[in-house]
Amino acid sequence: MHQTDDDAKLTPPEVEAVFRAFTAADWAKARSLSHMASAGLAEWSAEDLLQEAITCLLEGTRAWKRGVHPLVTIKVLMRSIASNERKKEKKGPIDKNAVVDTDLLDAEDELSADATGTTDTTPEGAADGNSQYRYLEKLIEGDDDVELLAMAWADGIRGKEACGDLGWDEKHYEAVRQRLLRRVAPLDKLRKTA
Amino acid sequence: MRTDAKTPRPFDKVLDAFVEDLIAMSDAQALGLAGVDSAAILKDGLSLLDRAKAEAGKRRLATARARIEEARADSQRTGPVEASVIEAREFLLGAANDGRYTLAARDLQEMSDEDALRLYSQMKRLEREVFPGKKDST
Repeated sequence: MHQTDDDAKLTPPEVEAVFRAFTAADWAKARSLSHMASAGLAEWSAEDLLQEAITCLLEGTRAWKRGVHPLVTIKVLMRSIASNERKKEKKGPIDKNAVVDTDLLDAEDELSADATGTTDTTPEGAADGNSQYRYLEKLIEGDDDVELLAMAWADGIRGKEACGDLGWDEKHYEAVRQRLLRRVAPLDKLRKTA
Repeated sequence: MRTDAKTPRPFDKVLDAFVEDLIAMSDAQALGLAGVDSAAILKDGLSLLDRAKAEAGKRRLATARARIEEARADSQRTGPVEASVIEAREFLLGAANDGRYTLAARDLQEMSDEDALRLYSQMKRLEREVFPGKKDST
């Protein structure tokens, strides 16, 4: 049977079912990811960003291609939303009630099953991504291991390969990764209580 | 300076590596990374999902309302005016003697049925725009 484009995407009820079945560990992973993705956003907490990504999927304005891991899907969406927000913040004045522009990644955008790589880079986006990386560098300044890990990741070296290249054992790698996340997360907590 | 459009941004690579780590991570490691107990994180997650669902519902409703309003306005602007040729000609005859209309309805005898209906539609639309509260005069 011929599969239509709509069949290739999760429907909003299916999206909800996936998140409804999330375990505590799944939510922990999504939350950690949102902390990292929101680095450098002035007006959005990590929770805001995660909620907005899930809202867009449930609303049907953003597509989730079947077979794509939930974390990959929300990463792409959060990155897109964050990028849009940073552009608004740069242009100012800031509209705190602004609705996210869905033009950047609309329902026709495709996420492949191994879409951890990026293909939507534009010169403007590259500048934006570079500024966010510089912001991250400032956050992790002073912790050499955390800086090394971020540099390895930014060079495209991941997981065990990064572990080996940096000469760390798994336990040390995990500890550094946790410190990296904690360097990013406190700002989020400050924003939420401000 | 030329930017290679296919080069991923450094921060995106960091995110990509982090996602890969998260996917491969055990549940215990993930919960340790979040630093919150599992019951609280599950409760928070489901609460976030409920808020997202409510917001998505509100937005869908707002979008549907906006579409209906748009369709209504569009129909009032350009919608067809239903009338028979006889009704159209009667209206135009009346219009020829009505001070509100200054068009050449006096040439009604020479006018084709098609032109009569077209002119009638134009005049009815004009009437709706100029006198929006007025009831249909046919």
